[in-house]
This record gives sequence, structure tokens and C-alpha cells, in this order.
Amino acid sequence: MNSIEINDVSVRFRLYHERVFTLKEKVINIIKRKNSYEDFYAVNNITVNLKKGETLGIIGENGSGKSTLLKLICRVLKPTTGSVLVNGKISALLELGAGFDQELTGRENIFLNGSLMGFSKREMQKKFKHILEFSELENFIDLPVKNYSSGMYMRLGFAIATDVDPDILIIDEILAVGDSSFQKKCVNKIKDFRKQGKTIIIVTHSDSMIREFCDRALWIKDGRKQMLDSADLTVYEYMKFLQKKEKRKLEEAYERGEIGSVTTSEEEPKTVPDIVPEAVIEEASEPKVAIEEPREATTEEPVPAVEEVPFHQPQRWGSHEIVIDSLEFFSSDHVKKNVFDVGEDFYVKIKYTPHGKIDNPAFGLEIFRPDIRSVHATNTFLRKVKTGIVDTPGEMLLKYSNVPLGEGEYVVSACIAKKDDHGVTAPYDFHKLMYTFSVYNQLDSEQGQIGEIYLKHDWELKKG
Amino acid sequence: MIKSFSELVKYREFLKNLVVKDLKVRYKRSSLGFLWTMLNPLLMMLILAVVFSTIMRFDVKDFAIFLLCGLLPWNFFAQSVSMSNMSILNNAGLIRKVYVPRVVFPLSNVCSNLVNFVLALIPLFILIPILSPDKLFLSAFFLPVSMIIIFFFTAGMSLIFSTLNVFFRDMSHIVDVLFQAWFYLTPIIYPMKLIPEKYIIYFELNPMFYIIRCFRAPLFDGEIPGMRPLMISGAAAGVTFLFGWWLFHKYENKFIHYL
Repeated sequence: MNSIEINDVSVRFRLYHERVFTLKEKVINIIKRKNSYEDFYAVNNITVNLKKGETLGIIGENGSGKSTLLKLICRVLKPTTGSVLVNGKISALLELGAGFDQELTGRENIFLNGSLMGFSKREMQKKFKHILEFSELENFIDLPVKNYSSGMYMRLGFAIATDVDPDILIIDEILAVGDSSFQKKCVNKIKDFRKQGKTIIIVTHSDSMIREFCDRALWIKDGRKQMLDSADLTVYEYMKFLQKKEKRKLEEAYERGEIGSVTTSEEEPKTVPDIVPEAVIEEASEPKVAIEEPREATTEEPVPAVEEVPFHQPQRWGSHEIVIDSLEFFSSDHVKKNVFDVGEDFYVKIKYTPHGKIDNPAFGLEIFRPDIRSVHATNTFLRKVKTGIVDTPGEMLLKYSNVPLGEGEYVVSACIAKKDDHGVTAPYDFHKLMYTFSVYNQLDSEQGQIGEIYLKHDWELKKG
Repeated sequence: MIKSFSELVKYREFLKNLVVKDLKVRYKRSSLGFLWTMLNPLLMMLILAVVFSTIMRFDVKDFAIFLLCGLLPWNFFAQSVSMSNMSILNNAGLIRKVYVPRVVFPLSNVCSNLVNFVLALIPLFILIPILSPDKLFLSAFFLPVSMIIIFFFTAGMSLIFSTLNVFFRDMSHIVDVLFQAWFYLTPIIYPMKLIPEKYIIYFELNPMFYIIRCFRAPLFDGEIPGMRPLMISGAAAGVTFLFGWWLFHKYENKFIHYL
């Protein structure tokens, strides 16, 4: 017997240009025969059948209709056309603690939530002890839930939803919060449910969770069923799609010059300290502060909100006896670009202009992940490259071959500095975190691989 | 219809919880708590009794009791409808996320007001033997029937207005004015005999006219209400309730798009 049958279901929303909430406007619109809305299909002709005991993962981008589909299954929403048949008791974790009343205590909310799912007081009394144990809220159960932390809130919500022994469990993106020990508990609970042969639907952005738990996965795109297949296959296709899209987006952004370019700002960057020592000389390989040049301080648009890792503000400082005019990335055939494939050759070109004669300036470059984790640093001093006297503008080329960087965004700092024989540094021009590029993993190419670093490798099969 | 009723029965525990919550919240942080339910009509009556027996004089003996017999049922009716009016909007958060038969929200308001109504009747029964022992009638035992009638009439009206208010937010303002007019067009603060003969036919179109009669007859006049008010108010209550129930369930699936 099927546990859930979703037959050719569509949900139409009317998007009102101007929402009519009053009688007067309604009457005016009727008289004018004005149609002030557009139809929008949040879910479009989706058919899914779930057998009892099956676990289905739903993936898709934000706004693709995942949550709408869940609401249909939970009966919160009625489909415009098509039908949804559900056999068994549903417990939904659409939003943990959705049925909680802020003013009531945790204890009262357990009973309120139970009744929300159609359980009597007596039935809930039997479950109460276990819910309390699972939620680990023994000391707080008689406090109003408005005083709970979001973690406590979530624990109580999860404990109630899973303890009521439903036939079907629906989970919408919930394990994102809470400490790891509780997350583990939740994961175990979900595993238990699977063993007991309950039907589970999971909506999540975590591909590993889908791969770990789900038998099948449904990929929804713009309200339509894009793919319904084994969890591994669907997740793979979906990730591939996301990567392609990401690459396209980045390339477009670079073309428009929104990222990767340096813009001069008149404002003084907040991160530059007020007290400026006169040419501080430090032993550290990365200088912190030298002479401040607020007028030339630069800020840069951060990388678009692809990854939500915040990273420090770009900064520029130095004595400016020699300055970096530009830093650009090229492919080995000298085509300017900012998006590279994994394992591609990769050149960095630094154009500079000296003001006067500079003796043996050191060029340096450091590559960071967006969370400012250094992955690579190099400089001419370290590589024992002599630059000699520099007195005319020129360019420094830094060549990397088969760049072993894994897929992702990278941020680059570059500097030209004075280095004496003891390695003491005083920067002429320091560009901190001012440049970005990204590496894209072409999974369907022969070079495709996954992970933080790119390792050249070969598979070798010896049969028999 | 039967299906939606059986679903409501399934969720009776939730309905009960909502009613308890409603009552708890109402008297939260007030030191007198539930006493207010009883104190409130008493004080109201004191004010009205003073006003109407000294300034605006109606020729009614035991005016205080006369007034309470009409005012308490009216308050139950008006407060229930005005609260239910907002019930769907106030519970939008829950309706958007969890499935519950939506009908529990307006009904819980009617039920919590019913509890208040019963509590408010207590001071009336304390007052009657004190103020005028001769008004202590056996016919008061008829009251439960009157209560059932007004309950269904009120529930029906509550369902209608809670539905309308989702689609037309002006309803809450209209209800205020409408109920003000309705209050004065129903013989509550004035006796029936003050209504001019030629208008009485219009007054009789008002179901509350008969429903109030169903309270005043057993409590104040000491008689079982006549067949006519009983039949008409009973029919009005039944029809209103069924219509409200039908209307609510016809449109409840569209609520979520308007919240």
C-alpha cells in the first residue's frame, strides 16, 4: 500500500500587483474589470508515490517549491488541481515549535502540541516523561518557552514531533541548529524510524544527509519535477547543475566587473588603526601596519553571497615608493580570466610602477580561502629570486602549473616589500585580500574530482 | 458536513486547550483573576442601574435584574463575534504551518466566552434573592435551553464573520458599528412595551429580539417563553449555524492565500 500518493498536483498562487484587502478596492476593481494579479505555479504537475517505509529526500534551490509540496502533504495547503492521499498519521517538523505558544510553559506546550496532532491528554501523559528525557529540558520545563534559547526550542519541538509515534515523519531543514550531540541524537532517531519501517520525507540542502538517509530523491526545479531517482544519482545531477550555474554566475559577475576589480574609496577603512607608527618594522613575514595612506586606501566589493563565510575587509597600505598598479589572472595561453578549472595552468601578472630607484624589492603573494584560511604563500625572497634595481614600470609574472586547488572561491593578497638579508619586512605597497578568483570543478570531465585539493591521479583496474 | 464534524471531535482536545489558554491569558497578571468575570457585570449593572433608575427612567420594577437578564446574553453574543472576527488572522502563524481544522479557532472563542457567560450568571443568581426575592422563579430551569439556542446562533454568526474578515479586512470596523446599532435595536436596556406599535413588526425581524426573550421570560417574568419566540429563535439559531458552517468550510482552503 502506498503511504503517500501525490497525483498530478499543482498549486496556483495569485500574485497580486496590489493586494486588495478592503471592500472598496474590490468593488472598484470589479467595476473596472481590472485583473490585478498574475498566476504563479508554486508546484506544477508533480506526481510522486511513496511506499510505506520509504525515505524520500527533496532537493531544489530556494523558492523551487519544496516547502509548498510539504505543506500539501501536511494538509496545510490544498492543491489547486490534483490530489494528495495520505495513509497514516503525519508528524511534521515544518518549523520546529510551530505550534508553541510563547506564554505557556514547556510542559503546557507539550500537551498543546500533542492536542494539535490529535492526541488526548491521557495519551500525552504517557509520552511526557520520554519527551522530557529526550529534550534534556528537565530543569526548564516549567518556564515559559519565550525564555528558551533557540536550541532548547528546537530540542523540545523535535522531541514532541518524534515521540508521538507517527506513521509518516516530515522533516524540513531542521538539523541546521542545535549542538552536535543533539544533532547526533536526532540523526539516530531518524535512523530508528527507518528501521521501524516508517515513511520519512526529508527536505534539506545537505547532500550528504540525503545520500545517507534516503532511498530516493526528488529534485524540484521551478515547481516542476526535474528528476526522481535514487538518492545518489539525483544528488549528483543536482550538484552538477548547481556548479554549472555557479560558474556561469561568477563569470558574468567578473565580466560586469562587479568583483575582482579594485575601486578607490575616499572613505577611510574602519579597520585601519588610528595611531600610525612611523614605518613599523616587524619580524613577522606578514607586516601589519606601516604608513597609512587613507586617501588611497581601497575597499572592494566582497565576493557575491555564494558562500556565507564572512571575510575581512580588503585593505591597502605601504610607503608607496613602489606601487602595484594591477594584479590580474591569466590562463597559460595569456587569456585574462577569473574562473579556472581544477588542475588548470594559472598565471598571475602584477604590474608595478616605482617612484625612484628601489633596491631588490621582494614580491609576495598569498592565497586564502574565503574564511581567511591561508592555503599558499610565496615571495621572491623565499624563492631566492633577485630583482635587482627597479626604476622603471614593469610587470612580474608568477606562473603556476596544474593548480592543485579544489573547487571554490579564493582571495588573494599581494605585496611589494623591502626585505633585508635578515628577512625583515617593510612594505612598499600591500594589497590585502583585494583580489579574487575561483576554481570550478568540471565533474563530468576526465579531470573531475571532489575535495579541497586537486591530486593528479589515475585509476588502474587489473582484472582476473 | 459529517466529515468536518467528526474531524472537530478528533481535535476536541486542542479545542479544549485553546479555550483554557484563552481564559488563562485573559486573567493573567490580574490579582482577582476569574473573579473579574463575575465582578465585571456586577459593576456594569451598578452603573447602568444608577443611570437608568435615576436619570433615564424606564417604568420597570427591579430594573437591575431586568437589565442583566438581557445584557449578559447580549455580551456573550457580541464579544464572541467580535473575538472570532479576528480569530483566523490572529492564528495565521499556526494555520500556515500546521494542519488543524480551522473551525476550532472561532469556536474556541465562542466556547471561552460561554464559560465567561456562565460565570457571569452566578452574581445574577446571588443578586436576585437579595434585591427581589419574588423574582426567584422555577422557570429559571429553562435556562439551559436558551443557552443552547444562543450558543448556536452566536457560533453561526462567528463563523460567518471570521470567514468574511479574512477576505475583507474592513469587516472588523463594520462589525463594531453593526453591533452598536443592533444593540439599540434590540430591547435590552429598554422594555419591549416602549417600542411603538407600528414599528414592532420590524423589531420582530430581529432574531436577537426572540433570543433575549428566551432569557428574560424565565428569569424576569417567571414564565416559559412562548411557542413563537422559542420556535423562531431556535430556527434562526439552526439556520445561522448551518449557513456559517457551510460558508466557513467552503472558503477555509483559501484562507492561507490571504493571510
